[in-house]
Parts: sequence; structure tokens; C-alpha cells
Amino acid sequence: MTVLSDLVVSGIDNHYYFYMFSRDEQASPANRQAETIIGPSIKVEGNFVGQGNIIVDGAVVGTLKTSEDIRVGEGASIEADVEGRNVHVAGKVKGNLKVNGKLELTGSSSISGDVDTEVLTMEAGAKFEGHLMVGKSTSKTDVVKEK
Amino acid sequence: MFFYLYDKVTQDKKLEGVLTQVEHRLIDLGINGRVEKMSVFKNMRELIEDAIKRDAHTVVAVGNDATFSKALSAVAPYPAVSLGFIPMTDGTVFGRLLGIPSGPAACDLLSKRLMVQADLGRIQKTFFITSAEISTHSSVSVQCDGLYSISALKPETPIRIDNIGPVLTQGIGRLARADDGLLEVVLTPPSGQGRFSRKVGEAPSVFPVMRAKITANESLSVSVDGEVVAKTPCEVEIIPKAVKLIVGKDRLLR
Repeated sequence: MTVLSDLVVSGIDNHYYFYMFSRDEQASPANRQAETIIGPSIKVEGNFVGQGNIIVDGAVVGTLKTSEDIRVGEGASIEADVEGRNVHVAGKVKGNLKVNGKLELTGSSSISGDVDTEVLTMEAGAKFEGHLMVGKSTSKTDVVKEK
Repeated sequence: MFFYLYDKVTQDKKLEGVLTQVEHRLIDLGINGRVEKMSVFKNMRELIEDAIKRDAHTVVAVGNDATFSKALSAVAPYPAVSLGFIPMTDGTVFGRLLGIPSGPAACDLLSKRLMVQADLGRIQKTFFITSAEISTHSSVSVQCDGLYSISALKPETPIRIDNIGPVLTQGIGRLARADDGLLEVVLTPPSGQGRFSRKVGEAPSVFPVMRAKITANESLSVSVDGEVVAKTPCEVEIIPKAVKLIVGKDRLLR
């Protein structure tokens, strides 16, 4: 399982942004899959299906799906069903989340929809409204409102 | 058969000695062939197509970056034909990308025929290995792979569609792979002014795609390497492994 751990700063077009990916994935161009970056002033509408990691700092409406990892920034606004391997959320998601690995919700995150994930971590302050399913167990935990 | 296309730059008196050395080296290596010199009355695409019809299996652009770029677009419709390059001066971008030195040393690499197959982007009849740029306008929208659309909330956001990247207009910086079967739609919102009068930039947005349709409320220019090749609405697509390029072992292209 990829750990969203190391910060790597990269320069492109005289601007800098951060990759939250493991060093192994960043090191070898041969192994690096295509990655998508949705900036703060960009809006994506429709059925987005990616093959690599996705970083969202802007707006997405529709569907957001990848077999790799998703990082939702603090200023991001997603009105879509989201599916990924490991998902880190610091922004707003209105839609269902299906996470095959680990879902991380930071204190600034806000989720409105059903969540199905193997592993969940949630910081104090995270907002969640919907049904929650964690792990391979079929037991469901109803969380109507938590502030 | 080898076909050598001499661009107008080879007619510069200062390069006469270099050209003579190149021609002698080609003969020594046994890879000399048919030669055509560009002039005002000759069209590069027609010359290359004519040579290919006469069984040229390798086209060699002799000149500078513009020579190689135009020859690439002419050779691309013929996947069985290889494309080589002899830079006449030092410092060419494609020479560095392909790992090909200038002058007679390039001939030795031609004879070794170390090749890579590179993807090309296509807009109508123009093929490109670098990047296509759309003139900025607030109404530009890009539909990707028929699945989703991208729009910029900030006006005048420049949009590029990269194969390996804008190496001729912006230099060799971050290079995308030339064999991944993907283009990248890159949107770089304009910088604003920070509180202390420093320019504050937003990171570029990047979308890997196989096909992109560009639309706008007005007819906008789409250029490749500084030359306008199409107007919106238009479609840009990736042609995987479209061309065989003769390269050196010190190439940057992957």
C-alpha cells in the first residue's frame, strides 16, 4: 500500500507544487504513472476516470475515479462519487466515497455521502454526514451528523 | 535509400566547411544518398513525400531545430520511414534531446541506427513531438477523451497540450515521456500580485489524455513551435509510436 508520506518539491514553469507520494514512485520516471493535478482555479465536469494519482485543489462535478491515490486539498470542492486506492481529504466532498485502502479525513474536511473504506482515520473537526462502512466486516455504522 | 534534406541554413557561407566534412563522412560510412536542397520554390513536405515514393527508407534533416520539426511532420504519415537529424550548429534543442552532436559526428550515429519509437500529437494534418499552444481567451473549454470537460475560472489562462513539452519555446525543463501514449493538457493560471508586490503563482493543472477537443466562443489560433497550424474548434490526439527516430545513447528523450 502506498503511504502518502514524503513531501517532494518540484519546479515546473517557474511555479512550485508539492507531491505527496512515496519516494519510490517519485524516483523512477519509468515507473511513474501519469498523474492528474486539478488546480484551485480549474473546474472539471463529467466522468473523470484516471489511471494515476490525482490531486484536487479545484472543483469537480460528476465522477472521480482512479486505481491509484487521491488527495483532496483544503480548498477543493467535489460534487461527485469518488473512488480510489488511498484517499486523503482536507476539503469538501459531496458524494459517495469508495476507498480500497485507507481514507484519511483531516480536521478541515467535510463529507456528505456514504463511505466504504478498508481503513479510516479521522482528525478532530472533520465533518461527516452519511453511512459509514469500514473494514471487511459487513457491519454498518450509521453516522447521521457529527460536528 | 537515405534521403538528405538540406535546409536553407546549410547555404550559409560560414557552414560551408562543416557541410563538406559531413558529406565526406557520409561517403566514408557508406550512407550517402539522394540530396535535395531547400529553396523558396521547394516545399519540404512535397520533397519528402516524393523521396519516400522513390523508396527512401530514412529521411535525414540537415539544418536546425525548425528543419527537424517540419521534417517530423512530413515523415509522420509514413511509419515505416525513419527520421534522422544532422544539426549544423551546436546548441540545437533537438540535438540535445536526441543525443546527436552537430556536424560530422552526427553521421556516425546515423550509421549506428540506434532508434526509438516516439508518440506524436496530431492536429488536423500537423504532427508534433513538442507542444501545441492555444491563444489565451476566457471562453476556452477542453473536452477530454469524450468523458469530461475542463474550464478555467480565471480569465486568460494559457492552455497547452504537451507531448514531451514546449522545448522549443520554453526550453528543456520538465520532459514528459515520448512513449507513454498520452498527451498532457496543461493550464497555467496567470500570476496575481501578492501583498508585498511579489508575483504569486498557482501551480499548473495537468490532465493526461489521449484526445482533447478544444472549443471557444471565438475562433482562436492553435500553434505548434510558434507556427499557427489550426483554428478552434479543433481536436488534438496522440498517435502512439508514430515515428522512428535515430538517436544517440546520450539522449534525453525517453
